[in-house]
Amino acid sequence: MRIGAVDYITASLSERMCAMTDESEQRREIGHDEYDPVGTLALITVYFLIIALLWVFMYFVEFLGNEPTVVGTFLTVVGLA
Amino acid sequence: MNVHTYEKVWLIGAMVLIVGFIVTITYGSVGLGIAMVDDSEETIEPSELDEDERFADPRVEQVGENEYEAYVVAQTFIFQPDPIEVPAGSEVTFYVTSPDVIHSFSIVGTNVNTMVIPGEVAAMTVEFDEPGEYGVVCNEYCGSGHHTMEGELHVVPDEEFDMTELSVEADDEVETGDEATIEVEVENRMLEALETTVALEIGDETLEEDVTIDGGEAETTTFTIDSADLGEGDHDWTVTVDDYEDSGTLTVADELEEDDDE
Amino acid sequence: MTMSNAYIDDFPAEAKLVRTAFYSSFLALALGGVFGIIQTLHRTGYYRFIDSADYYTVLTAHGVFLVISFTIFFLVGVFTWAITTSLDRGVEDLRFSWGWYGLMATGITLSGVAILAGFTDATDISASVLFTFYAPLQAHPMFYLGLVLFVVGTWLAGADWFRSWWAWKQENPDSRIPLPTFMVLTTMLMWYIATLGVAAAILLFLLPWSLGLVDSVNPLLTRTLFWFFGHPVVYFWLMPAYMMWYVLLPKVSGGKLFSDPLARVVFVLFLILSVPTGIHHQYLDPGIAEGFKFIAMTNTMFLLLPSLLTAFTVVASMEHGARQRGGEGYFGWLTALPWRDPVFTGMALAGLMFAAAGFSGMINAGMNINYLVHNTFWVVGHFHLTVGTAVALTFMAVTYWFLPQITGRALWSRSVALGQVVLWFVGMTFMSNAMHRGGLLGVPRRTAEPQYDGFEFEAAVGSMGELQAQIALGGILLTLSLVLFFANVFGTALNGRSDELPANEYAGTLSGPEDAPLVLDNLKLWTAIAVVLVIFAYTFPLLSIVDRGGLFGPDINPLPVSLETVHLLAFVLESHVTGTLESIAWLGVNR
Repeated sequence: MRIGAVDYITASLSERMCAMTDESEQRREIGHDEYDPVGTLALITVYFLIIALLWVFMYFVEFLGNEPTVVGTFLTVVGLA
Repeated sequence: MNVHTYEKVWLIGAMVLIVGFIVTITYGSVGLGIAMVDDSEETIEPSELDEDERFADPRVEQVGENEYEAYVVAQTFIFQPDPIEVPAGSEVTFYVTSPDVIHSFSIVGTNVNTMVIPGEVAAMTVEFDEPGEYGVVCNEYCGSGHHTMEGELHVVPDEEFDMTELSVEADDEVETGDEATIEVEVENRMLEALETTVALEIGDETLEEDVTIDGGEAETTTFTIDSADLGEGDHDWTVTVDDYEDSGTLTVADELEEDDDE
Repeated sequence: MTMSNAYIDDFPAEAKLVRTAFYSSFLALALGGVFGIIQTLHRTGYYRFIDSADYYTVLTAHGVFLVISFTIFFLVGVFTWAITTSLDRGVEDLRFSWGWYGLMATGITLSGVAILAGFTDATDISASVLFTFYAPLQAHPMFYLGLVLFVVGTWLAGADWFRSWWAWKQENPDSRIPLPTFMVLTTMLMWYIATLGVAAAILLFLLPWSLGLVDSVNPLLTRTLFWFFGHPVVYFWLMPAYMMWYVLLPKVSGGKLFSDPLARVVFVLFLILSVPTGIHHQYLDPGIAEGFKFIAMTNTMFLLLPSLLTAFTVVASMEHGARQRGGEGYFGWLTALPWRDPVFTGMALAGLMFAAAGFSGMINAGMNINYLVHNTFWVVGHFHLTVGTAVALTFMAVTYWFLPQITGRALWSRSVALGQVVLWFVGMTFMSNAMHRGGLLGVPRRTAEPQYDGFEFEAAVGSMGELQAQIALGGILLTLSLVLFFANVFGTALNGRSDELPANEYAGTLSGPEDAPLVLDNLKLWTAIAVVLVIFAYTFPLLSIVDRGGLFGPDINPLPVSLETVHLLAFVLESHVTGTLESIAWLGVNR
């Protein structure tokens, strides 16, 4: 099992780094190679979907539905011609 | 540098979001023609707005068949003109500037919103399809009375909209037997000619005259009334042109109080 | 003799400095909170005892005390802790450190007095110009002078930390920069670049103008210089919170930081992208070409990247803790987190609010959609989630960890602390959601009485009354939360010295600095790129503004500079740069 990066850091620093925290509550040690943040991926996927949906709602419903909107004179002239 | 596969997936997701946002905004600009307030207007001397041909007299002008320009001054703590009146179905370009501090000109419940910076003129072109009444607020802190700075924008039905201005010059008093004159000047600030009727009601009489006023012109109609017909006393009169009205009182006296024929 | 290994045991003199900085920060928090509740109740109409004209003095005090003194005093405390702890050495010269603290304290006192003097007619002094002090609104010279001294104090603080790092580097020539130190240094480099804008605005224009040495200013120029500083300053508030999420949150979650290299990438991105974005606050300003606004938007959107990366890294670090504590499943691990720990819960809730703030920030970053939200209450809702929760709640939560470290006394009450952070979260949920919704109805920010004579705001869902009620309720809950916070600060200070304090440690890493490419530690390179980006993003807009309106306003003849081709040039240059940036970001993480 690999304990963080402790080997690579100066001795004084490793004293400050906390290799194992809250040991009382810790049931197991999970190293770098055996850890897949699948819960994070799930959460962030949900976040992605919420953001994408809200963006579409805000732009196309709240913003474009809040007419009138400032338009370019040039485009309008072309439109009228 | 090793990055976990999941984090790489999220990195791609994040880039998709970012690029998607930029694409949406670009679509709004290019596809829908939403323009930003920009640097297309010349700068202006804030202390000399009263000598500026657009802002000395804040107003709405017609510049094309359905095109109007509104010259608006935002200052502590009012908007001029107020209310701003434009017809539905028109395209209005607002030019807004400030003689003092930074304000905003924001039409509530719409996407018409700009900062108003002294020395700069904000220009925004807006199409108003439907009639309605809107509030206008200043949403940038401009001093201790900021919260009272509001105005109104009235978008009136096209058929009810005109830019007619009525002014009447009338005698106050005449001696019995003299003729009283009431001069009615009607200005048509629209581009199209205005066909209308100038009506004067005085006593039991109603006098009418049909007039045609070319765009940007003013016509004066003079009504002459024989005071003998009215008789001695006070006579209320009313001049009406479309929805505009002016009124006053004409006094017919045997002898004028001020003796001006010495 | 003490048995514990707390910060105060190893660095008693530095602990005193950090403690003083924190207490200064808390004093500002208390003042800002008092003005906050006065303002909330006044604006919503529930309780008005000040004149509406004085509302703006209250608002100026609320803004300046909270976003300048509360945040930055806390920052200097955290950064001093981070440097001394991660380099394991005391400050180089304690008198110098107290010197910068003294300069900051003097500066903010001068500005604060100038603001508060606005409440009395006894003096001519006032500074009711709000946090943005847009000319031609003018404050007393003391206000500007105080801000200058405060900022110079932060510059010297940065110099102090760089000095520590240089000294450490002599003794550790082959070591990687420890992560907390790396974060301090990159943040300060960003701050040096950013504050040039506000320093120029004040020293060249506003201070001489308020002293009567020059007659006028160019309002668009001083405003643009303000936002040159005004956007990166929000990252200056945020970076200490980010640091806490990276180095402390994994530890209190029971895990390790998922990736040290990515944390470095994030801070590098903030260094290079924070400044060339300020014009996105000026999307609706006349006098700035649409092209410049588009460039600012592109930069701003890419600035989302470091925050989105942070979301993953920090949540993955928490998840690591949860799984070590026995958490299982896709979402079930969330229940294995230490929700009874106020330090953890405060930071986690702050992070959750920041995720929501990220969304309203994305809207604010959009160019044309800005017509919908600019200067409305929406913006106020946004920054009460960012600086008002992501930053403030994180600061309050980590205070419960720091207080024992810097006072040597056990925390007065963990349950009061837990109640406090939850109450803040609930209060801000009410307040900020109502602010966001109000903004969409067109309710303006910065106004004493959002009730007008000529029209009413129309809510499609709910009503104005309901929104006002939520804001007032939120404000009251936030005030209660502050009371609980101060109870703990005082209670802890009154406790006796404890020998059984947790050690002064921060989180270990799953993927450590050995995995980070060496180039990430090349601060000169990143600074150079940041400067080049700022030059690209700002040279042409600033020249154009000066060319149009003159250095000192429309009265003075413009500079004889021809700018015919400026817009096109700027566009080409900047799109090129943005492309390069993307590649850098990609290279950085894919190596």
